[in-house]
Amino acid sequence: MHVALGKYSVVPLIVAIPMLLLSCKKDGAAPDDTVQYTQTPVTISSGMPGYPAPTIPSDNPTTEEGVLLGRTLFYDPKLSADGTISCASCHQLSKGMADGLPVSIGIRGQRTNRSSMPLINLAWVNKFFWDGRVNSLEEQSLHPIDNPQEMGNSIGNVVSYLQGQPAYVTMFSRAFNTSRVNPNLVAKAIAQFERTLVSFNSKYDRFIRGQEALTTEEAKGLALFSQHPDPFAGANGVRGANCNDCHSVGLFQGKTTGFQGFMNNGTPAGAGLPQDLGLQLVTNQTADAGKMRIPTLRNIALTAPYMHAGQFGTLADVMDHYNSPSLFQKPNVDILITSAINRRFTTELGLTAAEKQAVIAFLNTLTDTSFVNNPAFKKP
Amino acid sequence: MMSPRSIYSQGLSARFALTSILSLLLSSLVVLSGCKTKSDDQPTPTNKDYQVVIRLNAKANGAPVMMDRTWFLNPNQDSVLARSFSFFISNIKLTDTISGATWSEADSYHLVNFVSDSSYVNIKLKGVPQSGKFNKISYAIGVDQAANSSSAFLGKGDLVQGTGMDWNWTDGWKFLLLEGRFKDVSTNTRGDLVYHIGFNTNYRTVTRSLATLGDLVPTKGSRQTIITDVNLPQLFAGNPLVDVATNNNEMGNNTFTRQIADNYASKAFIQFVSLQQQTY
Ligand code: HEC
Ligand code: HEC
Repeated sequence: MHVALGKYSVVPLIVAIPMLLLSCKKDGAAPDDTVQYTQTPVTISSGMPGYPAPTIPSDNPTTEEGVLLGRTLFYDPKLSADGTISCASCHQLSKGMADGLPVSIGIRGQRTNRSSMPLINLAWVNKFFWDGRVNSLEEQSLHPIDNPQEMGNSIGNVVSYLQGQPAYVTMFSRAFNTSRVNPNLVAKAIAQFERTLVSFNSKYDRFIRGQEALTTEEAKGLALFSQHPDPFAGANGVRGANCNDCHSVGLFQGKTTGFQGFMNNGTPAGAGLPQDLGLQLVTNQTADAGKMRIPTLRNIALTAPYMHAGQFGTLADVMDHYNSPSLFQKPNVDILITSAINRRFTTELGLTAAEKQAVIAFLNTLTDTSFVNNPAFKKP
Repeated sequence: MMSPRSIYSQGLSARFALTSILSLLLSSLVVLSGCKTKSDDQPTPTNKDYQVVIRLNAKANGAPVMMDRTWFLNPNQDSVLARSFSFFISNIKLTDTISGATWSEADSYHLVNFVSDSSYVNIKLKGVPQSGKFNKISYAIGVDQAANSSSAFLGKGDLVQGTGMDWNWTDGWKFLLLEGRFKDVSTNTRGDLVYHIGFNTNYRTVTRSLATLGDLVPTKGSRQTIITDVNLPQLFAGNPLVDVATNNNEMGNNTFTRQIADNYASKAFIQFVSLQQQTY
């Protein structure tokens, strides 16, 4: 369901107020919740023409009050069993909302089997986690809480803790017009905060808006990034790094229809881990073995190490992976990789060292420092 | 070829020069928002909206095709598995040949994108008038030259980024994308199949009579669905037939991609099957 928040703006106030009162009563407010608060809508937007619209569920519009509550929850370690781990332990703003580790470390020092994912532009994502096992942010928000390796708590415990904190109870009332905390509302508030983590102010974005120029090398990197190579075109062929076929320029991620944004890029197993089956764990189809979500490359310079278990330490390692002659021989590696060659009758991408460097220079233009410094995303 | 520098400094910034005030972070509207009532979720059909739907069933030799699941035989008797299949159907027009009345859809750019859990796609025609009946349809496969070469069309219809159909910055949109695998039975070759067809020369317009289906009469409170079959093997037709073992990786502007374009313009590619009427 796509609901533009903007549509509320056309509801005349005179209609909006009674609607608000009526519908909020129905939404299960306790009888003693006599004070009715109004919420201030927040618009989630890329601000870029031609970018897809964000997905905001119709039953959880983003509001300032909901976002503040969600942000407070996000930074609260008391949501974990022993009070040591908050969402922000593994999703740190300075690290592009990831954690800088190959695989995340959860409660009591436990090593999880996957790398933390950067929480950026999530309103443009349709399937969450590396393997796409969750369909909405609301559903996702509660998973880490009762995951024994992550926060090791139970949602029941979390609800009773929150219910016992007057400050939280007030925030729930302000956001949802009820003083009765329930798991659903916890999930909604966290999801609202996560949707505000919008990042569209990198050097690349400013370049697109005509506000800043790319260097020659960065521009060359963008041209390579966007181009599917064709060694048979003309006399000299067209050279390309072929990244755009998967990390589509704009959001720099995969498609958001069904599981179309999941592919196998031949990433090896993580250190000390078995090969991760990825999407196959969700669909039970062997054709989906090793397919992972094509993550956004926005802020990629901040989120090393790379891939679902931090297999690569640097962007140079990532480029060497895509350029490796052995990549084409891996089972199940995607056809968009094996169909991209820069020299006729070869079985490798075949970028030169200078071309790899240019792509990296371009990837570095995707860093949005205003995002990592945004006070609205910090601990409240 | 232009150097990347000149492409980007002129092409790109000009493209987005129109981009006016941007809400970089979050702009708040100071408007009251209520909790939502359930009725908001069910769009009430109106006279104008979504009265006419075109259903496109992915088919091969009479059987439904599911992405990444169904192998089919092409005319050259090679087996093909489509992993992704999408194309633009655009500039849709309905005509009543008797009165001569014509309706053209505004911002008519529909992306037909087949996903793995379903073998059909519905596209909804926006704003078909209730006056009149129609017995002829015309449409294009691809994106017209104006929209294919200007950023002013970004955001119109399905011309949005991130669908995998934006090619690179300078060459416009992919009109048709077919990605998958093939098995060539005679030579026992297997391989990958990647067809990305675009370029203005491969834009094709098609006009078809609906007369055999019965008149299309958009009426208040009813939904008319034009049922069509999209025959994937037809993409490999021609003389000579497409041999996937020879042409498995095609994205240029050349005689091969023109053969594919002629194939998607042929009657056998999108077959009009029936007209269904459903009242609300
Ligand atoms: C112990 C570290 C850890 C903690 C604590 C943690 N996460 Fe995560 N997060 C991860 C890892 C690892 C993944 C990827 C897991 C996977 O794919 O299976 C992830 C994935 C996600 C995603 C999916 C992003 C996407 O693009 O699909 C979201 C959203 C998220 N976390 C939000 C949260 C929230 C909200 C909390 C607190 C309630 C939280 N996380 C707590 C490590 C953590
Ligand atoms: C066939 C699709 C495909 C192509 C082509 C592709 N990628 Fe990826 N990319 C993926 C997938 C899938 C992942 C996640 C894989 C995993 O974690 O196992 C990924 C991950 C990455 C990551 C790590 C992201 C993170 O958050 O850890 C980087 C960096 C990256 N790709 C850069 C590139 C560049 C640069 C190119 C072009 C040279 C490229 N990719 C081409 C599919 C692709």
